[in-house]
Amino acid sequence: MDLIASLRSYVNEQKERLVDELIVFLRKGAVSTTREGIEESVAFLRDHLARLNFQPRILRIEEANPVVFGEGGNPSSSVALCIYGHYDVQAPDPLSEWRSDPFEPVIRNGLIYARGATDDKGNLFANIKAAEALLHVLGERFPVRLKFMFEGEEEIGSPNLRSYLERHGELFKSDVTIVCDRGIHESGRPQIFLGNKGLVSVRVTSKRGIRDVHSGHAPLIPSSAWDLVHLLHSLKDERGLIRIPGYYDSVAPPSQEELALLDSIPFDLQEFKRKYGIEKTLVDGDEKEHLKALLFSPTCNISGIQGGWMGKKPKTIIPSITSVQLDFRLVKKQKGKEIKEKIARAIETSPFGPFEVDVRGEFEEYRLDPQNPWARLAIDTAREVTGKEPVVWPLLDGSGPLCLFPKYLGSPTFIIGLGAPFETANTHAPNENIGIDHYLTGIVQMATLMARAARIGG
Amino acid sequence: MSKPDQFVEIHRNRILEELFSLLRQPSISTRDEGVKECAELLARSMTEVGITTRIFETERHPIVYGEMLREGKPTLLIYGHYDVQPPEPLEEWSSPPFEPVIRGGKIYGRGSSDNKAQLFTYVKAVEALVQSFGSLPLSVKFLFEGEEEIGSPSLKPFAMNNRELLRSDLVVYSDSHIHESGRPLLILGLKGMLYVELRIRTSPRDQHSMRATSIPNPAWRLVWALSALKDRTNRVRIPHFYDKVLPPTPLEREAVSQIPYDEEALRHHFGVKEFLPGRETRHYYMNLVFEPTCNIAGIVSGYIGSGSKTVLPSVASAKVDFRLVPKQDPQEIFGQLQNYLNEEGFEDIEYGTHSMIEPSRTPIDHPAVPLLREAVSRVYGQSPLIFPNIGGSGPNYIFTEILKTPCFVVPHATHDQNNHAPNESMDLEGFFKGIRTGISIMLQLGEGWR
Repeated sequence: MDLIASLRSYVNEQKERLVDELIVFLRKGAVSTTREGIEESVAFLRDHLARLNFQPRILRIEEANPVVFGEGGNPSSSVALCIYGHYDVQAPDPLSEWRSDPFEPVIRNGLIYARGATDDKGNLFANIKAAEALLHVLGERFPVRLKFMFEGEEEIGSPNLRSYLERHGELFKSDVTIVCDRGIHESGRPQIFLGNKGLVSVRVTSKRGIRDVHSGHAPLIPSSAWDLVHLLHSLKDERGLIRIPGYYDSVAPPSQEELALLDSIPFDLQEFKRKYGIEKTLVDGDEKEHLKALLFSPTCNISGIQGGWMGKKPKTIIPSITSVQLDFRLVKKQKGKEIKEKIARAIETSPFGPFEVDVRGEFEEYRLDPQNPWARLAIDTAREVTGKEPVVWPLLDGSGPLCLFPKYLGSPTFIIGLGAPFETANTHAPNENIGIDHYLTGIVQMATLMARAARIGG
Repeated sequence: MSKPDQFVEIHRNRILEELFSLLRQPSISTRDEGVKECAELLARSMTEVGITTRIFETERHPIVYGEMLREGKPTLLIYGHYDVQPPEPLEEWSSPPFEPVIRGGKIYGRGSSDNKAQLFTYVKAVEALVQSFGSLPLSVKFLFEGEEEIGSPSLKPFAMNNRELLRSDLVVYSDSHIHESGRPLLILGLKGMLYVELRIRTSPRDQHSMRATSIPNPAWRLVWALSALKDRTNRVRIPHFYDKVLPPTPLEREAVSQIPYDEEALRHHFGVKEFLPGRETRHYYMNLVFEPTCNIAGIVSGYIGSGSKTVLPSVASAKVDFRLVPKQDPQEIFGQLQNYLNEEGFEDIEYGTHSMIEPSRTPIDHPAVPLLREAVSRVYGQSPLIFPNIGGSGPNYIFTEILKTPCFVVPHATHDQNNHAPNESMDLEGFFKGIRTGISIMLQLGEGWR
């Protein structure tokens, strides 16, 4: 029996247990913002790595959620492969819109519903189970050194990943860092992303007066809400243009080669609108224009705004505090540090001020050459295991810490999506899920990749 | 001291005890707690002084109506409300909200100033006059509702269906508070209100914010729609919003310009560094009285908890209240608001209305004004400041616009009354001044009304 068949048969035999173990992991939660379930999830990972003899280590930095590290496989191999995943999950709000408890996984129609199912516990755990499957199939012949690096703060922008990489760079060092996150393509084809956008998140707080005031005084009492609304309008106008001085200065247009890659990405505009329940998108143009915007346009998004009284009963006050949370996704050549300064300056010098500004995160854009041998191996393996042509994106439409791995570890990196397709996975939204088939195929795909990694060499 | 005033002085303790029984009876309209019992208690205390009293049931809480009529005399209608706000948060009260006590010259208890003590002054004024002279100098009618704190939903239909019963020459009531300086007030009107909720939904559920290049964000749309409502100079940009604003008369301007204020102290009170520039003048009360406003009372969309969550929200909403001045019509302004936002490209906004209250303003040259001014001056020893209207909103339009009857508010509580808040209080002397003012008003009107 060849390798892939052996792995498949192992996974099929063990299917029930493999699913049960993932469910136990999902049940533990691990909301990075509240820290609920963080230590429980860490203990779970430590136990599972120990079972594979992967010498787990819990790396801690004060005030930060721990990184779980494990190393195993063939210690004498010259090739080292590092898998990155994150065990933390998004907060589950709004709870009322979940069909079942976000932390009490339920299987419906072959899908496991729980917070973190696809993002990222399902992806992460498929890799531990891939190592298990490969150890079972190859035993002593496990071909490479395999490292796991599991972060607990990805959903809050990985504020300490840089420090962990600085302190433990030697531990994580390997020939490639593969990030497993997100899912397969909506068409059912496997999916690989060779880069990601940068991200800056900004919290602006408007404070006027020491307490809320009866709105009868509105003629002359300043309002935190109005000032913030006027500020926001000055940052981005009705046409969607970001008005922060210099924001677009360093945006580089996509190259011909990058544009060509877009042709191989399936994208159905009607289907997109239907899936998201929208009549009109913000982009004027065809499918390719949408993909271009998605990958090569920077954004300024309001992810939350709150001020004053929004209870059911009427209450008429002038709010003393109104806050907004913004996220800016950066594209090619936009430097995080520089953009941060421009954003902060625009807010601090606003005529509607004063405002309190907290600008965080500075991931930059990163892209791997599609011809890189590790990228080729991942693409070929995905094709071989699934029998389908992988969808290869030059760039992830979202953001992430990809730029940090080459910077601190000196090795290339990219993303493989093993979870449910983005448009049905409900990541960051109620009713997140992963298909049992996605999870099991992911195990086989990653085990095969680990097995073949020795071909690339150190 | 006049006979009725002497009567009040002699019966001071008994009158206080009667007020205390009224305060001990909870009457929380929003959760139907003790309201009916309070209506009955109030009706009994009215009957006891000889007022013919009747309780009218409504869809929620009863209206207590009373009358003591004299043929050929002018009729005064006294309005008030016996329901109270919920007392929570209880832990912030120094003494239990429904166990009234006197501390430092103030009566503490929920409903003390808002509105039981202020309402009760008129019942006791009637008693003092009847006991002193055998009869009233005029006809008096009472209209006490139990739904003011929930927006007076039954008052308007009741007024429309009982025009004859409520027919009077003028309406007087006591609510709100006197000036910080201790000067009494004569309030001629209230602002109107259009309180709406704007809601935009752009997709069925929240999405990952990476989709922000294609999927419309409702929070942005709401921000843009709101910013279209008001310009940088604080002027409302809805076309025709100001068309029907009645320009203040020279007398009204004169009255308001005389209202004293300490800008520094006011800024300190509100905790703001600077006031908004003001549209035509910097004078605090000229703006408070004559400027209609558009206020964001609340706004919410997406996730704003601790830490960041990079979500593209699916829905955004804001509560917006417009305070209106005569003759702005809330219904009409609501239509203008929708037309304007539609024209600005915000056809996707859904609207809900919380309340629509018409503005009211009794003319400052109404013949009752000098009589009431004199009546108040005699008790307070200084003449009242005259407000053509105050910044708040309330049910006065039911009297001025529906019953076509002039309406006056004479407050007796002090500005530190903490109404709607813990440790609500009524100034003890304010309460007795209120009774004497009630007596004085009835005597003035009985004698001077033509």
